[in-house]
Amino acid sequence: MTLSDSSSPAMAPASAERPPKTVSPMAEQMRRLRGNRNAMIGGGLLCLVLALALIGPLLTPHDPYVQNLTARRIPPVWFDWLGWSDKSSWTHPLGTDGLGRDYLARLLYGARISILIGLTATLVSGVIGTVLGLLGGYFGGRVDMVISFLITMRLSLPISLVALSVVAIFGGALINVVLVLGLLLWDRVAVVVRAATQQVRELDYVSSAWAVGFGHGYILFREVLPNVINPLLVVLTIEMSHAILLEAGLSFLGMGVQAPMPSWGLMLSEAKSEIFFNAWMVTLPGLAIFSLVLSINLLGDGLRDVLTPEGR
Amino acid sequence: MLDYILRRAFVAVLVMISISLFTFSLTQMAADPAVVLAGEGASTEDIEQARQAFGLDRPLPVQYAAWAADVLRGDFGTSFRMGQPVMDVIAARLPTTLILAACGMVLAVLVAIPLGVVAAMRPGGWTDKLSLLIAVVGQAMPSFWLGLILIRIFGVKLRLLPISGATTALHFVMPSIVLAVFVLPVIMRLTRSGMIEVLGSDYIRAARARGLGGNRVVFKHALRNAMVPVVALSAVQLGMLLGGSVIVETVFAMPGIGYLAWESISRADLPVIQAIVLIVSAIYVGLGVVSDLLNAFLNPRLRGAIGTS
Repeated sequence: MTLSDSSSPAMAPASAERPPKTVSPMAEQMRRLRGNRNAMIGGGLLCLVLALALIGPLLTPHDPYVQNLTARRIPPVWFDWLGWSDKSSWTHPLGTDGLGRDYLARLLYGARISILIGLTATLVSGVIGTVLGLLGGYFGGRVDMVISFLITMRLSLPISLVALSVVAIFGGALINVVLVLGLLLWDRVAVVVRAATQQVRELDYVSSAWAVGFGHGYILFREVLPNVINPLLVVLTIEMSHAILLEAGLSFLGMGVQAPMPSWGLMLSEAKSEIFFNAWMVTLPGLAIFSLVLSINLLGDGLRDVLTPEGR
Repeated sequence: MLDYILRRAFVAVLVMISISLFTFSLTQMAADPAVVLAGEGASTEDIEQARQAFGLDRPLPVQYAAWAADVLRGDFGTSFRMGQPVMDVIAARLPTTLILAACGMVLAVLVAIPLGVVAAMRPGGWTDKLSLLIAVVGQAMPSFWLGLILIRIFGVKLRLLPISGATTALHFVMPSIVLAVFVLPVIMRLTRSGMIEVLGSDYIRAARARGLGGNRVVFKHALRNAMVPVVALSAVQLGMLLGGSVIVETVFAMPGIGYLAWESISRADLPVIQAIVLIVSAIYVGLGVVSDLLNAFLNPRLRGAIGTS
């Protein structure tokens, strides 16, 4: 592995070669991103969810773990407005679950778990996929054959089945869920980075860097990587929503985040038996997962339009 | 062409060997099979006896070879939980899953392709926006949530459809919808982008210039060409549906291999888990080969360009 190369001296400012008096590509991209409706709606929604996750404890006096057996299955506050229930009130704005835990508090803490798992799993898969894609695309030949084979093999594994079995074997600790997802979701990253690297490799500045005598490691991480960053960002957003959905699915099946942690998937699984009389318990966590994934996907769509106009 | 098929088949075999190694080591890591076989509360001597009786004291490579040889003959061992041969258990459950996946796929294609075509005829128009909205919503929809919503509406409220089991055709309606929503967005998007590309190409404009009407051009010339990647992708997606059946079958308690996998995983029935992962992977690999060959066969331009992946 060429990991040692990443510890090269501090990065030079990327703007060094920028010609004077023109808008930097970065600013231009930001401008186009602001004009992209998908990116704005998705980004806005995502910021909202992030903010709620961050300031969650300020919004509710309740602890997501504290059970109150005298206040179980209280419906959300709008049941009171609509006259459907006289139990609901602002004490528990989104009601309580089957153990009397405050639903709003659990949803807010659940956002942290989803986002934490989404980010860290994407980090793991991003590093694996980027390294494999860079190596395969840059060196070609045998190295590429091995890496293409790894990608094909990974694509041939049924993700949900493998993730379920592995979590069942090693236990549902948060770190296991993150590692399993990270180790399974790198394929698309590798495919995209590999293809982009193959294109960049042919460009003049790479061969001139080689001619000047820079090593492979330097060229890969300082010359090639910055130029494949756009498609990489796009594919990472896709993988992040993928990871969040998979975590929710695993937890729903009881093989992901373990009780009593407030994971949205786990909340849905606990609410399954309430579907006959308290359907709102199913609606709320599902809506939370849906909104978070939708916001990331919209942002990803927008990023794709702006950053990789040539792709699709 | 023959060379390409052979190369592709060779890669497929290598992949299957690696996956079998992976599943074998997975179950080795899970638990000491001798302890499981000897049962709960077994003494150390019982465990040693089980180890010798089942050949578990042999070196791992030897055990792997013996296991692989059995698997090739269709013998996946005996289920810890049910005491029946794993192959029988799976054979009894597989049809449900296959029917379900086929229904989901047909439904998805029937909706996705017309949507994609209509969207592509006027990019940016309201039909295009509507189909993209459907795709975006479908992609963000957790399938277990959609399943529960359908159960609530059609099963509990309207009492139109049964909410669990797989005994009648009606039982397949809701699960098929959930699976269809899962694959619909990808197929729709690919149809749309393929159609837009083809409709902008020279030969379509030539056909239009010759005076062929709009719809005729779309359906006679463009759709056929735009379908090439869609057909190939659908083969891959069908495999995804088989893997994705775990969640859907669990939500609707359908006795397919997805539900079987979940039951077996929650009760550490290793031989069954091993067999399901291996069989589903084999189907994936098979469909992957089919997809690549379809691509190459339907689109001769690609034949020379396809690499090992």
